Amino acid sequence: MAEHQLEKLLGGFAADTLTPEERRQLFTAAMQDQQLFNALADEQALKELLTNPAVRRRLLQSLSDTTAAPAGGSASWLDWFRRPANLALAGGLATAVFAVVLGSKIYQDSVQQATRSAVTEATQPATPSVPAPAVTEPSAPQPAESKTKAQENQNLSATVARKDSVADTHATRERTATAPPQSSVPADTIRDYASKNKQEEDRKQATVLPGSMGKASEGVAVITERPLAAGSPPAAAMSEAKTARTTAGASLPETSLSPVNARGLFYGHETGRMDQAPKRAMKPLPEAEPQTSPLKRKHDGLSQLSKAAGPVTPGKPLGLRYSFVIRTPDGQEQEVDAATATLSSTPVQVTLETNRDGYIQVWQHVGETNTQLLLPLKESGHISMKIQAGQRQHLPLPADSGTVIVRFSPVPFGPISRQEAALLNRRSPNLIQESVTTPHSTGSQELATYVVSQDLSQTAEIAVDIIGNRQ
Amino acid sequence: MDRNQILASLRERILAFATSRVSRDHAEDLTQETLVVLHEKYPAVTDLTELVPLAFQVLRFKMLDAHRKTFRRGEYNQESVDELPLADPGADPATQLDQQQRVDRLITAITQLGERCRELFKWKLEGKTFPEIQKIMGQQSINTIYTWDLRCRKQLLAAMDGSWE
Repeated sequence: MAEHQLEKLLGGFAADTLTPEERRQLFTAAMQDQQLFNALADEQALKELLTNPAVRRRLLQSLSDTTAAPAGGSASWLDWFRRPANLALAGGLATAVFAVVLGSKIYQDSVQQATRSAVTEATQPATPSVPAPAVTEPSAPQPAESKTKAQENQNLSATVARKDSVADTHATRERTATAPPQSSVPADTIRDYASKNKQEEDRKQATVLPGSMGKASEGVAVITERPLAAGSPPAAAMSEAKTARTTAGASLPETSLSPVNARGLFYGHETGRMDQAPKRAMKPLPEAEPQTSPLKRKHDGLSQLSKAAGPVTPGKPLGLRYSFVIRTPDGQEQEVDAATATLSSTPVQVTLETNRDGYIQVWQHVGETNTQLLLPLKESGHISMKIQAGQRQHLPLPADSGTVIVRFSPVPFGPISRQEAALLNRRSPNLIQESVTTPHSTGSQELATYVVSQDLSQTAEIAVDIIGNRQ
Repeated sequence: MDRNQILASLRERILAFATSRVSRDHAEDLTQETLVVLHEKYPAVTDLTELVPLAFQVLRFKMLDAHRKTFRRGEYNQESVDELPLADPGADPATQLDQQQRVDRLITAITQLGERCRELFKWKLEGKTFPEIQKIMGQQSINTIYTWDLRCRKQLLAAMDGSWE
């Protein structure tokens, strides 16, 4: 026995049960070790007690009583718990049970959320759009050719909107000639615009024609060229073919002509009007508010939250300009429309420009579940890329890019879950989109789309899918 | 190691122990008185295993006597020796009360121990040695018994507020 273990013999010293060898070891060590000697001297008091036979008998009697007493179940359980190994076992079991309960709850929550998202996706396309009352505004007489194209566009719009416009072609023609198409923005919003900006709208009527009513998610605008009209206002003389639309719902297949000029808003020419627009758009209108997705509700909630937290920052609305650029055989870069870019066999680049400093993301959405980040690049390690106002960002489109979603926000994006990534193809609410064709004096022409958010709050965000499946 | 060497070592240890409990001068007196008793009354005890526990016993008695003397200091001059009653050869009532209280405390402390400790203590009180207890408890190593006994002793000492007194 090692010397440092000799103190274990102290118990035997007091009870006088040491063997001769143990006694010899203990006392020899005590002569060399002062601490052990002191311990032995202290044990002398107990030894003196235990030497008394009467005391021994009393102690034995009490021990026999206490040994017989805890034969019951509760005492044995207490003893079981007193042992460290059993205590550790019980603690481990409790931790495992807690982990299982917590894990199952998290799993159930995620499954419920996924189910809710799937149900929302399944029900929204089937939801019929609620048409707002048409606003009839007198318009300036238009050339016959323009009128014919407008007639075609209106018919297309009517088909998509599942309107039975064929029954009354005369009325359709009349509506085409005199009134803007039905809008998905709230009716009072349109009336508000109409009453406040009547003169400006008259000018627009001369320049803005009904645009494409095609698939909303494609954002491919059918452009109507308008010949220069003698005596038209200088602004209208820009020869722009514009297709503007305001989205009240996230993914509703509705497209409408809006009197608001997205390009003007992008460059800050029409901020005054935008100050009015979101206030009206924020109003909940049951007849104009179709079933909204959870994403939109969340967004609206955030907008209202920011509104409640403080005044909306007046200023330039959030705007995004994008265009598709291909390289011509002579080496020149040329902007093309989305349809051309979709069908183009040559490499296509997307040019992105914003009107405010912010952060941008470009997602590639292939299939229903696979979503991957195109910009910023994976190698950068960032999830959102800072972009400065007026700075054009070029991004080569992959050959099989699928649906490309651009997100723009004044604040950096946070990491998103897989379920949120699956919902990325939802358009942001309250967006005004306008495709513009503007010939330049150099011979080239601008073919770009402007997207402006009517939400002036700090949480405003633009999310728009800019192209469909590219072959 | 012969008797003189043992006594020399014992003197050193006893003095160190006593110094840790009382003053240095008093400790030297206690040590000297203990060695005088061992030298004069127990000259036949020469074995280490007998001399050391005997020294502990004498030292304890000497320390208790010193404690009592300190407690009673000044009382001897107040009473006449002739008026003192005859000494009882048995323990005085104060000592009996002290011992009874210590036994009660010990019993209370023992009942607070775990089952294994109580069993160990019981077997020791029955006079069983550690090797015998090892066989009873069916342990392969006697070190296990030593360790259990050490832990039980510490638990018992803690239950008695750190002192056997």
